[in-house]
Amino acid sequence: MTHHIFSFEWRHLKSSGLFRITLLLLPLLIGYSLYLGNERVKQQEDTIISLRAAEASFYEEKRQELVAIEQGEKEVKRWFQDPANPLVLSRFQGAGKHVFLKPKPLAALSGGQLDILPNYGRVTLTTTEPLRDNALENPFMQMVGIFDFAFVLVWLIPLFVIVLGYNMLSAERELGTWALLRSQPVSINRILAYKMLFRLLILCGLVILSLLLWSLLFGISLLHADGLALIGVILLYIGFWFALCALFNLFMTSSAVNAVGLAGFWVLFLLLIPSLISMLATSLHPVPSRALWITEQRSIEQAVDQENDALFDEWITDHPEEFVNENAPDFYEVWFRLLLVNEAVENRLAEAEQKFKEPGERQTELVSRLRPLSPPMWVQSWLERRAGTDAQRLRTLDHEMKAFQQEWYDFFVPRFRRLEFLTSDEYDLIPDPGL
Amino acid sequence: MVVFTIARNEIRRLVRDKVVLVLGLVMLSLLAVSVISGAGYYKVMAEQHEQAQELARIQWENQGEKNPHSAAHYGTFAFKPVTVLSVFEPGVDRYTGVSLFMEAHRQNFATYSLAEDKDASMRFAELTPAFIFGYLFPLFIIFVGYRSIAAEKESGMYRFLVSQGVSVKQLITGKAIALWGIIALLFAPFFIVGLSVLILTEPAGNDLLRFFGMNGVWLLYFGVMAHVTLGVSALSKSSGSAMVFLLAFWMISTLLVPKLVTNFAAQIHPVPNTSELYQRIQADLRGGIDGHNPYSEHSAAFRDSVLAAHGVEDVADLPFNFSGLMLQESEEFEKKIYDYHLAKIEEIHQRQIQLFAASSVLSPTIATRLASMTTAGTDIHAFSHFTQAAEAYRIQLMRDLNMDLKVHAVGDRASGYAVGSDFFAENIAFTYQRPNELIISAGQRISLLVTIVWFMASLLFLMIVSSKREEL
Repeated sequence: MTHHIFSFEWRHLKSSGLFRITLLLLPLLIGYSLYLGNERVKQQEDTIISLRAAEASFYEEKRQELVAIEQGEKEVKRWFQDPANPLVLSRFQGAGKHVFLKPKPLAALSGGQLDILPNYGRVTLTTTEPLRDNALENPFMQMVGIFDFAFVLVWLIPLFVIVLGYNMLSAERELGTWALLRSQPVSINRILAYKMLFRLLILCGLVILSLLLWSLLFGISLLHADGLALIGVILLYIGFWFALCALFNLFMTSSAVNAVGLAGFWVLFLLLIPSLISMLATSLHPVPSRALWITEQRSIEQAVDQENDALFDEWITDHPEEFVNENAPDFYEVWFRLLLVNEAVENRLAEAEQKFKEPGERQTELVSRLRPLSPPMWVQSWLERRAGTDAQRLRTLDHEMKAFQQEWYDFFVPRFRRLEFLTSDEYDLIPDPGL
Repeated sequence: MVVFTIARNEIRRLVRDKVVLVLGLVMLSLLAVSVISGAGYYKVMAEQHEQAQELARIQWENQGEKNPHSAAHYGTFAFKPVTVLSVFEPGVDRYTGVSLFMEAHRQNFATYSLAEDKDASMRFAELTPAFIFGYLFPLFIIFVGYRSIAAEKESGMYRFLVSQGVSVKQLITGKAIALWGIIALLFAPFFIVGLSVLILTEPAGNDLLRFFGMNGVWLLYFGVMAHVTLGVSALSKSSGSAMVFLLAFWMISTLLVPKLVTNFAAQIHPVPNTSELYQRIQADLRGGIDGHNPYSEHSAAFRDSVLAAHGVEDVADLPFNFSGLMLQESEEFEKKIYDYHLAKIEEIHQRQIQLFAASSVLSPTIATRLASMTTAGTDIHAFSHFTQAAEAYRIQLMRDLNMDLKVHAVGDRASGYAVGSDFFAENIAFTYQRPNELIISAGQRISLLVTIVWFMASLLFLMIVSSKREEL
């Protein structure tokens, strides 16, 4: 029986122009999305390699210079060029380290929010600078978004499912073969189930086979837990849309009404619910303009700057043992004060910035609660999380940079305050954020 | 008269159709919600930007006593103006930075785009009239119109009408009038509410003209969708196949082509990454005067030439402050370098936009979106206009500061020269004027033209379909 239905279905599908187009177009779209994704990940990895290499060569050069000085082969000309000076190694030109959010195994499959949020940043003693390679991109591109496998899966594949499944039974009615089918010794539900299963298998096979073959070609590994989970999600997602098609075929009358109804569900899940959720989140938790943040930032900097003397006096009173009073070089007090001011500014900024960050965080919370209302939104979010390109992960960059900056600060600042310069052996102790 | 009878009957049928009624009401409610919530958001944003701009000026004027060049490093901010038209067509507004830091020696990029702070669901779909008109309304037109002729064939009414002497042309014209009638019925309330919102928020400059232009573009787009829908419905054997074909057309036009083309354009015309750009700029800057390093080769040569021109041997003997002159000289040199590199980036963006516009031959949605952003003044060209105005202001402010140093920090006053709030209050303030013209770049014209061409082509398609012989 199964064999019969499958072979009739195959003959039927083979003669359909839409099916032939699907057979050709879908693998090509998947291939192009994976090609772009692979290029994107390669670029990220290249950036990491080249920046790590630049950091390593900066510190290696300084170490060799210091070794030469220690052996008396070279002299320090100016204090800000001294490779033993903690400030030179932690704050001045070329110093500092990069913190990266490394691409995850499924990174090539979903670009997520990588086109608007930074994925790495440079940390020095006084600055944390978030960076992304594509910052000069045309904003129109960001408006349209990245073409990735997630887009093909979440947005386009349901349309292919609808095209393949909207008239599974209704066409039989319209062609007059319905009565013939009913006269068979098999129930209509069973026929529908087999027809659906056959089309489901064909489409899932096409998607998964294309995904595997292109991945193999581009060297994207899917042989890990996330890769297997992805296959499961693809099956579930395509299954969900086929189930919808089956429901329409069971209860609706004509193919045209099925097509309209299914397209309506597509619009509901992919456009309407997400746009309403987004609007709700924006209205309930409006994000204030960063224009206000910029001016507030400046007000804080100005206010702290005016407290410069008070900050310095307070610190000296509290930690007299950590200030070198005698024979200190000229730059010492200037930089001592500057670091104090910077620390105070950073602390107050962190507090003040909360009110600009909080609404966005609340929006995200609300959206994640409402996301199950739209399976496509859920799949998109799942893929972004597994690819490590979701906004929540990318927004942790700031925290990661600050955490590393603290480590950097704890290593260099006490040495600077005690005017303890580094030896070439101590270079190995310089903190590294790792990968 | 037959045409109007067909149109009247079709409108009556559509209005009585519960699905059309529900879909129409959904469209209207979505439009109303999007305009009302958008207008509220616009009001808050406009106030916040105005407040920030005022505060930035106060901060500039009260920065304390300092050397004018220290003030140049202290810098100030320009905030992107918010236009009420972004309520209807936000364009690239969410993706461009809101603030531009203007300081000595360098041109910065605008930072902090709204997209960075908002939840990512916005990128799935954002409820704005532009989104509704770009994506949902064409689907509504398809839903309403796909059966209009195909169903007549299926029900046998087509044969009946033709046998009664109704020509295909009359039938299609009648159906087209009916479809346009439904579109007008839904569009009119939006237009009236939109216009009221615009008038209530006291439109600036040519906002009204822009609003009319933007609506004109959308109407052309609806025309394209309506004509294609009717044409396909007339050519299809069944309403089911008409629906599937039209859905495919919609998918290609709104989803597939825009995504494919933008990503393709980024590959064909890649922009350099940020660090690459800064490295190139730094390399070029080394080839000229460094205002902060009098010992550099170029600075020394410049100093010698100035000394020779004035017949003195020491800069202290010059009748003006040499640092002021040198800083201005280096500022102008740096500007040239930045202008050159940024113009290159802009050129790449232009090429990409040209490619999008060219691809709109395959997608009326791209053409319409580009054209509606152009008319609303929320496209990348409008943003560049703002950044250029900010740059013109920056260079003027830097000149004023350097010139003050040059003219006044002379003789006894040279050492420790400082200016205070009186001086800063006299500095020019940044005020941004949006362009008076709707079209400020040749690139923008293409998308408008392509939209019109799509409209004409769709009309022609419908006429060709109408002139076909009756097939019974």
